[in-house]
Formats: sequence, structure tokens, C-alpha cells
Amino acid sequence: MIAVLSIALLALGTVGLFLLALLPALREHFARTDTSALRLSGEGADIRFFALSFQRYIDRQLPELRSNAFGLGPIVTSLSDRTCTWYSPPNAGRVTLFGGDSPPGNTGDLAAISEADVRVPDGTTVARELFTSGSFEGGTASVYRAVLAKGDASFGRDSTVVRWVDAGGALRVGRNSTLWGRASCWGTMRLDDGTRFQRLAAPRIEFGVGANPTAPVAGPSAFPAEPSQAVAASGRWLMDDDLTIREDDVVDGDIVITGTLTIGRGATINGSVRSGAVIAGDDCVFSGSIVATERLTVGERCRITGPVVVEGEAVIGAESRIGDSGDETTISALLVRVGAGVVLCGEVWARKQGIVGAGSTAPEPEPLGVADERALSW
Amino acid sequence: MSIILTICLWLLGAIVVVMAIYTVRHYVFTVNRLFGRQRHPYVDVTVARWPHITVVIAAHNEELVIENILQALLACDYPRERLTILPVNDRSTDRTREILDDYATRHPGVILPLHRTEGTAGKAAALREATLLARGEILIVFDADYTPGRGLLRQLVAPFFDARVGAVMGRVVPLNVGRNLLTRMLDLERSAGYQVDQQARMNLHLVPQYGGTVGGVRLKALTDIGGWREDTLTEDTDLTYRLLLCGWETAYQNRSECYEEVPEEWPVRIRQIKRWTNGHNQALRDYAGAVSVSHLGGLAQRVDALLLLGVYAVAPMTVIGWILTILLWYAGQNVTGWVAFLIVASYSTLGNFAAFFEVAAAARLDGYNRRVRLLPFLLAGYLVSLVAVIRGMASMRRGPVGRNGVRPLVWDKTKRYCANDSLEPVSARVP
Repeated sequence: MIAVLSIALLALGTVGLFLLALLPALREHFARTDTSALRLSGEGADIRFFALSFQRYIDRQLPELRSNAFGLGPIVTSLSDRTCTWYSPPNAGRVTLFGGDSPPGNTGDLAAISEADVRVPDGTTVARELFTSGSFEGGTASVYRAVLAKGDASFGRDSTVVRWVDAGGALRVGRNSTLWGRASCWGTMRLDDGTRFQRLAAPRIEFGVGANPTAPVAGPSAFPAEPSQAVAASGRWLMDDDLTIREDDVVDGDIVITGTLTIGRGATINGSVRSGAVIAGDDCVFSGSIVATERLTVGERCRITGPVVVEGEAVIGAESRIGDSGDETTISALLVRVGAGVVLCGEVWARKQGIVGAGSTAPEPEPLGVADERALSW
Repeated sequence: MSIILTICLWLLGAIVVVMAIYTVRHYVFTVNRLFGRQRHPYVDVTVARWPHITVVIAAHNEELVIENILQALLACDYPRERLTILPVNDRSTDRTREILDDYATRHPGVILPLHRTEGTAGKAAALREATLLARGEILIVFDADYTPGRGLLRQLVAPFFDARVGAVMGRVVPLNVGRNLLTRMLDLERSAGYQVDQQARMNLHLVPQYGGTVGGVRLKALTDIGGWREDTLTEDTDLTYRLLLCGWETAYQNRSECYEEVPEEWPVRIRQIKRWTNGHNQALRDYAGAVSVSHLGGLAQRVDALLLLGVYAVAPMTVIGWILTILLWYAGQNVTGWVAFLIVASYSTLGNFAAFFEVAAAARLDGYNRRVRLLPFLLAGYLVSLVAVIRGMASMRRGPVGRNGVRPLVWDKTKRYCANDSLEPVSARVP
């Protein structure tokens, strides 16, 4: 009898332990607290995602702001969503940020919305988003959280944008500024020497305007081999090794190698390149894309038509041209170093950081803003 | 007698070793996905000179869903002048033909339906015929019950700017998650399979698998390998390996997500597993030798390719291992050490395609806080799948053999449920 009871108790205990592990599962099964389909990433990758969201917010707030503005000058008001806002009406002319008849003492929590052109004094910190339906002129050494300008926008030297900036016209960024997150405009974007950036988009981006072009890399001097080392298949030069292409050579077809691809000065690749590392001399022409799993270095005055994807560092030599008007393209790399006089039509995504000025040292990764961390931790 | 025992012992040893390798593989993938460097090299390519593409939708009696995918594709932001939609109506007996013709009339030059009335049935044969009519450089393939998002086509095409990439695979996300316990478990499994397994293989430069839908193939690569094979049950696995052997890579895009319907009934699920098992094992038979002696790719890539081929053999191997253990124990053999290994390995490979800890890791990455509690139920799902896999293998051995020694191929598609009730209607997104 005792033996039977013992066995029964053991069996019950075992079943009990097993069910204990199932309790949270049973609870979730019956309570059904988490049954929705995974939300897909949607439009978040659009470089203007935050700017467009902010624009929608502004559109909702403007009627209330206009009704609160009594005179011609800027006012400080609290919106129905409790956002403290500095507002400048459209007939205020060109205004100084946080200026007005009674300038606010503490601007730390103020969002700035202006329907007039805005000028920001030197050394100003704007802790909340700034919107202007006119043009924007930022002073030197100022710090902004995010800026949306419907007209042209310009930032003085040593400025910092923490999250994003979007301009409806041209965008000019002074020397040694830093653009964390996204920067976009519908006109020409000009980044002066020493500017650090992460993600850029514009029909035309000019890097290092006015700086003296410097030679970032010395082109390879000797090219003993030629593509005949590789196996030609399906219009591809396929090779499980390093490959060098001589000066002024013309290669028709894609090049796919696992090692380092060294390309001599003036060579032309009528196709795409996929390699571990790519080192190209001056005046090279790439009619397709470049994909490098390690690093890319191209010399001065090179032309690249297709997208550039590099999993390490990409160094673009001075006066090179990437993409074209009406034929825009993308550069994506962990670190991007761009020489003076480079023109790019399309987008740049420096996943950690990019810097204008080929003579500079390689950029050091720095702490990222919240939005950028989100972008990097897929 | 002693010879039989020795053979059994060696067999058990071999099984334990293989399972230990799979265990290590699961842990490596999980740790890499949680703590390793993540590779999404092509996700940033949003602006480019996009090539002309052809989107193929294999359809057999798809009147319930075909309109939805056509609407979704027309709403995509891919340049319209470089897009051809080629639905392949393969002997449908419902309204599929009528719907396709209606759309073709309304979107001339963009939607070009192909109506098949003869030739070999099945998706592979349909794709083969569609490829002959394809325009451009890239073939994008969807099943009819999928709902591509607005930017999905660009995301799937972006990796083809890499001259080594022959095929691209996106991530499949179940839509009808909340229907019942089966759909909820399948959601967790899919999450692990893509979020952890596929992405880890991408991270480690191994062999991401082309899945046959929400993916694409470079036409030049397809020509290079001799096109689609009609005599295969899983043209996707077959394609992955033939591309690999010809020096092409398959890229996985974890952010290129697309909704699908998962089976809501166990019999449907069992049929699906049996079909996958047969197709995968066919690929194992056809390509294991070639992959082993191939000089392409590194050793790690070749090992991963072999392990991927054998993934459907793990569950039966576990059963055989335990049967051998019991037999040897009753025969008086000391198998304690092997048993210990077998316990750990069985526990660590418990799951259909991904071990339970991979499912947990995927749930964390996807932000599923509460549904991960369903994890213990996966044991039941695993047991059902185990039976389905074994039955699949058995049916492959005894099934009717057609021409060339291969079973005649028919449309063996998964049942549709039309579960898009939890999302915004696709038609609302068409500009």
C-alpha cells in the first residue's frame, strides 16, 4: 500500500512540476495578451521621416499659434498639448530666435516655431525642435536638437545638430560642424571642411567647398598582373584571391574577388566590383557599383556611377564624383572620409561617422544620439 | 552479436557527434545574433539607378488573395517604368484568371499575366516558364498570399548591386498570428528561423537560404546554373545550392519584411512539413557530395551548407539515438556517457528549425514580451513535426515514381485563410 502511495505521489509530483513550468504558457494561451502580428518597419528608413512627422505636428499647431499671436512680434505661449513654444508670426520680418518684446528668460524647454525668416545668435543652444517656414541662418558654435526649414538653411562654423535637419532649399554647413543623425535638403547641400556627419541626402552634395584638395592616398605604383588571373564566367571575373589591374586598363564585366583589388591610375571598370578591399588610384572610372566587405580607398578625380557599399571605412579622394544629376546613388559605409571638392548626388550613410577633409585623420566614433542608436541597433 | 553491438555503439556515437555539432551551431547563431556584429550591408541603399525587374506570382486557384498582392505591388514605390508584374495562373479552376485579366486590362504594360494550361504542374515549372517571359535583370518571386509593403521591392533589389549576389531572401512575418495556438507557435518559430538563424548566417558569411518567396534571383545567375529545375519539390533550397556551387551568394535582408499566412490547422501544417522534408532531403541527396568537395567559399561556409542540408534529419536522428540507447542499455552496454551527451544535445536541438533558446532570443529581438511564455508548447509542436518529418521521409521512399525516377509533381500548396483583417486594407494604400 505504501509503495503504491509512494508511486502515486511521485507521479503526481512529476506531473505537478511539469505543469508548473507550463503555467505561464497556459496563462498566456488563455489570456491572449500578445497576439498581434509583428509591426513591420514601414517608412522609418526614409531620411525625411522625422522631418515629415514634425511638419505634420506643426500643421496641426499653427492655427492655435496664430490665434494666440496678438501683435507683430514673437510671443511665448503654451499650446494645448502643454508644449511651451516661442512663436513668430509671418509678418514679423526677419527675427532673431528667442527675441521679441519680452524675451524669455529660460529657453531650455521652448520649441521654436516661426513663420518668418529666423536668425540664431552665436553660441545659442536650442534644446527643442526648431521650425521656420522661411529661411534659417544659424550663428557659430550653436547647438540644435532638430531643425526644419522650408527655405534655405545655413549653420555657422562649429555648429552641432543632435538629431536631424531638413531644408526645403539649400543647406550650408560651416567648418568643423557636426551633424548627428539625418541631414537632408531639396537643393544643394554644401559641407565645409572638417564637418562630421552620419546620414546625408540631397540632389547634390558638395564636400569641402573652398578647401584645398589634398591627395588622401597614393595610387598603387606597380601592377604586375591583369584580370586574366581570374576565371571569366557569366560576365564576371571570379577569383578567390587578390587582383591587380594596371594603369589605364579597361575591364569589361563585373569583378568578383575575395581578396584585395588594386586598380591603377586611370583604369576603367565597365561593370561592378565586389571585393574584400578596393584600392583605386586617381582618375579611375567605375560604371557600376562597388561593394567591399573590408574597406575602400579611391584616389582623386574618380567617377563612380553605382552604389558604394563598404562594411568598413570608405575614403573618397578629392574632386571625385559619385552619381550624377538625375542618376542619384548611395554611399554606405561604417566610416566615410570624403576629400575636398567631392560631389555626390544622392545619399550618404556613414553608420558610425563621416568627415569632410581627406587630409584629416580617420574619424573616431563618438556617442550617438537616441535616434542614431535606434538606427544602428536593427 | 558483438559485431551488431559494436555497430550500434558506433552509430550511437556518430549520432551524438552530429547532434553535438548541431547544438554548437544553434548556440553560435544565438550568441552571434544577440551579441555579435550585425551585417545589413545593403539596407542603406535607398537611392540608385534601379534595374528593370519582373515580379512573378505563382498562382493556382488564388481567387481569395491574388487581388490583394496585385494591389500591394501596384502601391510599391519602385519606378513603374522599370516594373513588370507577371502573375502565372497555372490551371486555376476558380476566378483567378478573370481577376488577372481584369487587372491586366486596367494596367497595360505593367501586369502581364501568363495562363498555363499544359506542361508540368507545380511552382518550379511555372517559374521556369515565367522566366522565359521575364523582362530586365532581376526576378522577384512572391507567393499569392503575401502582402509586400510599399518599399519592399527596392529593399529586395538593393543587394543585387553586389555582383556576387545571385539571390536575395527577405523576412517572412506571419499575419494571422492570433488565430489559435498553432499560429502563435508558428509565429515564434518563424521569428527564430529568420531573426536568428538566417541573420546569423548572414552575419557570419555562411549560407543564408533562399526561401522561394519574398525573394529574388538574378536572371544572369539563373541562366548560369541552368534555370529552374522542374523535378524538385523545393525549388528554393535547390536554387540556393546550385547558386552556391557556381560561385553566387544568397543575401538575407532581415529588414525586408513581408506578411504571409501560416497554417491554422494541424493537417495543413503536417502536409507543409512533409513537403519541405521531401524537398530538403532531395537537395541533401543531390548536393551534399558536391558541396563537400567544392572549393568555393571557406570551410565554415561548406560546413554550414552541409548542416543546413541535413536539418530535417536531426529529428529522426534523435529518435534513432534514443532507440539505440535503450537497446544498448538492455544489452548490458555501458552507454552512460553517450546518454549524457544525447540528453544535452536533444535538449539543445529541441525545436523544428530553431532550438528553443533561439526562439527566446528571437522573441527578445522582436520585442515580444509576453508571447514568449508559450515556449513550452513548442515541445508539442516539435513532437507533431517529428512525426510529420518521419512520415515525409517514408512517403518519399515508397511514393509513386514517375519519369526519371522522380515523383510526378503537382500543386501542393498551403491552404489560404484570407486573414488580413488585423491590418489596414492594402487597397487603402494605393495612391
